[in-house]
Amino acid sequence: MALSHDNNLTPLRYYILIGLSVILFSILLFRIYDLQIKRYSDFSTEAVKNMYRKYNIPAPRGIIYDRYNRPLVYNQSNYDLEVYPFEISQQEHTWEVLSRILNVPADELRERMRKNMNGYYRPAKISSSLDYMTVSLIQEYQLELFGVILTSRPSRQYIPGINAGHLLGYTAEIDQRSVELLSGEGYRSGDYIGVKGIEKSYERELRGKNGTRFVRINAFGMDFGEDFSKTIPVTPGNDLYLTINMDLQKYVESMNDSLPYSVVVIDYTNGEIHAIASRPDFNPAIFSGTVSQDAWLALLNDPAKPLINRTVQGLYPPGSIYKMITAVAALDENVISPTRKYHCSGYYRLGRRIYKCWKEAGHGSMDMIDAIENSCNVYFYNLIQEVGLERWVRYGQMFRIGTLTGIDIPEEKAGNLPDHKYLDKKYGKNGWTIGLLLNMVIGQGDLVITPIDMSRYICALATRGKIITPHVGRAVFNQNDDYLNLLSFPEDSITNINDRTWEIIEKGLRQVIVGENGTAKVAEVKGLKMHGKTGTAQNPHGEAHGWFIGYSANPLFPYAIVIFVENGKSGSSSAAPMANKIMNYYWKASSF
Amino acid sequence: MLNLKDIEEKIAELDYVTLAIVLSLTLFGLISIYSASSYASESRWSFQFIIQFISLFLGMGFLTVIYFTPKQFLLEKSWFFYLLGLALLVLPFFLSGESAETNRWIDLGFVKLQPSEFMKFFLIITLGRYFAITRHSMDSFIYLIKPLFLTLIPFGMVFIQPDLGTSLVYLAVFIGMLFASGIRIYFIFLLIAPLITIIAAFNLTAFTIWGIVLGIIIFYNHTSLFSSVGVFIGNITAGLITPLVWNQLKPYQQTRILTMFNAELDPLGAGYQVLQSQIAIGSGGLRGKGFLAGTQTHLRFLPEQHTDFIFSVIAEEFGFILVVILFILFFTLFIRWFTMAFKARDKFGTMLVVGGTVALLFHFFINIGMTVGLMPVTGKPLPFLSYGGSFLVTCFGLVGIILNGNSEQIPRVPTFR
Repeated sequence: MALSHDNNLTPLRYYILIGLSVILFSILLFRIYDLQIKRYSDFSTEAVKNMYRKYNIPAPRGIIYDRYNRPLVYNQSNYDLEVYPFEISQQEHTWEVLSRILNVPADELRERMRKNMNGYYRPAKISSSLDYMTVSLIQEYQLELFGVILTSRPSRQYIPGINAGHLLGYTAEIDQRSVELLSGEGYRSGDYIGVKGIEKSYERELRGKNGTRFVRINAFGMDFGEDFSKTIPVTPGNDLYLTINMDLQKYVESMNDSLPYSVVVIDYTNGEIHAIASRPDFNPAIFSGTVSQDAWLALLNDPAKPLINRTVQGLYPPGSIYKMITAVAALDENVISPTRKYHCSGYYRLGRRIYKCWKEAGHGSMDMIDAIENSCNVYFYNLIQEVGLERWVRYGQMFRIGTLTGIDIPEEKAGNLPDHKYLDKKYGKNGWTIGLLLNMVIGQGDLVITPIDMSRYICALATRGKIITPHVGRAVFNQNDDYLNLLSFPEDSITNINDRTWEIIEKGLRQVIVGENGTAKVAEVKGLKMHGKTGTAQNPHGEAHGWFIGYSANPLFPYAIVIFVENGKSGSSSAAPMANKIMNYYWKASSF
Repeated sequence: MLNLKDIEEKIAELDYVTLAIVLSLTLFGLISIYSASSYASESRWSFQFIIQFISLFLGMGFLTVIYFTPKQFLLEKSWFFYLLGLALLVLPFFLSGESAETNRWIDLGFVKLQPSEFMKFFLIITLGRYFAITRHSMDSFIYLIKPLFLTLIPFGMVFIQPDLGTSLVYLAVFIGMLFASGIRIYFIFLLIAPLITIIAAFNLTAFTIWGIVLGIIIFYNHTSLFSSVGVFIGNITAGLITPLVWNQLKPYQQTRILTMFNAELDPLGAGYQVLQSQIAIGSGGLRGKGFLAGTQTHLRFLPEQHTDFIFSVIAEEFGFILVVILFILFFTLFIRWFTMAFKARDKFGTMLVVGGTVALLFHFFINIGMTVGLMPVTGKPLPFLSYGGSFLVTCFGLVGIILNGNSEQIPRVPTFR
């Protein structure tokens, strides 16, 4: 008997089978459409990424020159060692070879790779700034070191004999947080970035643009040679020309090793800084390559605080150098006649309190020029009561006291010029008396400023009111356009002070140097017609700080100088002699 | 029993459309294998290409033999085939010890045979015979007890090799043939229900919803109260026990089970493989990168590129247009075969066609689903296109079974004693 002719696959079931097939095919085809057509460009990029291994070519940073085009900072090749985690995991014995060459335990090397790893197929740095011996050993054993590569990176080199750490700053490998923050500007992990000083403020100019080499590889990381057509060439950083005079910089750094001090030598006609120092400082060369933990800790824990840039960040009371503000205000507003005399008997009584002059025996009868020459406190105690807080503040503001100078060295701090509002807020509306003002007129109390602020102040005094921006950058050589771009900085001037006022002030400042009782007689330099003012700022934490600000009236040598000596006891004994040495040196060095 | 008249008839009946499509697919597979394996070979023709080329002829020979074997013979000797298949499955366990991988193969020196491939035919023939001649009523559950066991025995043996993919092919073939045999769909549901229960058991909400759905379906199928309640309670109990059993397992055992179903969970690489496969397919775009120009293929980012991931090679080098053409060819085959099954004039023939078709369709879906990242990585090759001698010969054999099932010969029912 034959089997029945009708099978049990009914039309309904037949159509269910067809329907299921249609559904299965549709799902697959839709998915493939999604991958191949809709997301084509994504996957295409991925495939190209697979094909090439990219090598970063670090751009050499711009060279930094002094005002006579002598290099202060330049570059030299520095070798780093990197490994490809995937490849090195294929041959564990590579670690042993590396360990012997570098003289570092294999486990430590593995740990470094893990720490710097950025993906299984991306290089991870395990050692930097290799010495010549190690580099040649690695080249010799290259065949045994599968997945290990030497990368060369330009590193910063510095001129011996100059520290200028605060001025030049240094570069360091960018940290992960900054990479995320600055990813829009093209920073990548492993790049170097300016951290302090000029290296930081001129980072955009100096950094240049990294290049990329493309090397064809397969899934196992095997190298098939470079694709030169894809190479993105390096653009070196722009060179920077400073206003700094290398020799003078070297000289001002060599002044005194026992006390911290700060120096600014500045051209008062345009604000160009010829030398700027904050001592003690550090040599930026120690940050080139890897900083040893010990060197770093030594700097950090040094009681003299070499990492603080006193010149632009240190807030100090100005002492007597600030008296000129009151003198200008009194003369310009015709508060008193310059010949009006006050008697100094060594102290001044206000209510029940005694305010002392620095000279206990007293200066006797003094007019304004005498008072400036002798730096008599009692004269100014009297004067300020005529001038008043409002005018004292207004004239301070004319000189921009307590505001940022805008110097092209980063992390500048602003001082504090206390006004009515400030005092009300600090002491309560009726909580303060004229006594506070007596303190502030001699540059004490709530008034604090930075040495760089004082450099702007002395320039204004030297130029009858020109407000310059102290700066160290002079020009940038643009590598792209092959063009030297001169930098300019804002300038302003105080116009409403009459010449008679300036004449008396200048006379007073000259008397400080050449007067019989001048507090800075030591500061005179033959041929320069030095003007200046000393200051001694009381310091509740220790010895008083010494100040000297001054300038040369010789139009061939239009430079001003600011000296600050921490715990220098007095301006006359610590700061003025230093100023003399520096101006003397520089005058001689630039004599024609 | 093999006479000239039969052969003449069969030649006249031969479906040349099927043959043409299958041959073009295989030739296209050869081209792709040439590309995918060109890296490994010094000579122009790689080892893989040559093996595949020879296998094509072996496959056509095998197809011819199976096609011309009278259905009557297959029907009568099905038990012999089934037992032979089981014996071959057992053999590797004795021949080799240490490595689990070798339990799949019988090494004859010059060629390795994979008995689980041949078991596919024997299972189709055996199940076909059962569904064609059984006297049990399709309305009773007893109807599917015997074929279930016939399937579960080879399923279990292949599962512990371990080769999950192939064992699932047996299950798919069984369910497909069961469906085509006309059984109540409710019974198929009863077979699948425990699997769903076990998966749903890991999520309370899913389990609750499933419980309700299960209850409703059982209620509306009017089986006896006793069996309804039994099925329902059985499923719920299984579901409640599953998480307890699962938590008793050691973590490494859990991982082993999970990676068996989805190799992407294996941290050492399947996830990477699927990603690279998707990149290959996606970067092919509309027109492809050109023959021998697939970067993913030739730089060897594609894993198993001439076997399991041959589709990715094709998609990368020839693009979406060719993928659509391939899909049309495959779709034509499957629809044509289901139509043959529908039109066949005998139950046994229908069963052979359905069994063969479901086996090939299942491979197709599992393989392409894997390369595009829709299905877990089970390592099943793509019919006619993937490299693999045993597999290609099997695929041709399955086509032979399908075409034979389609032939007009109507076997006689053996007499029962």
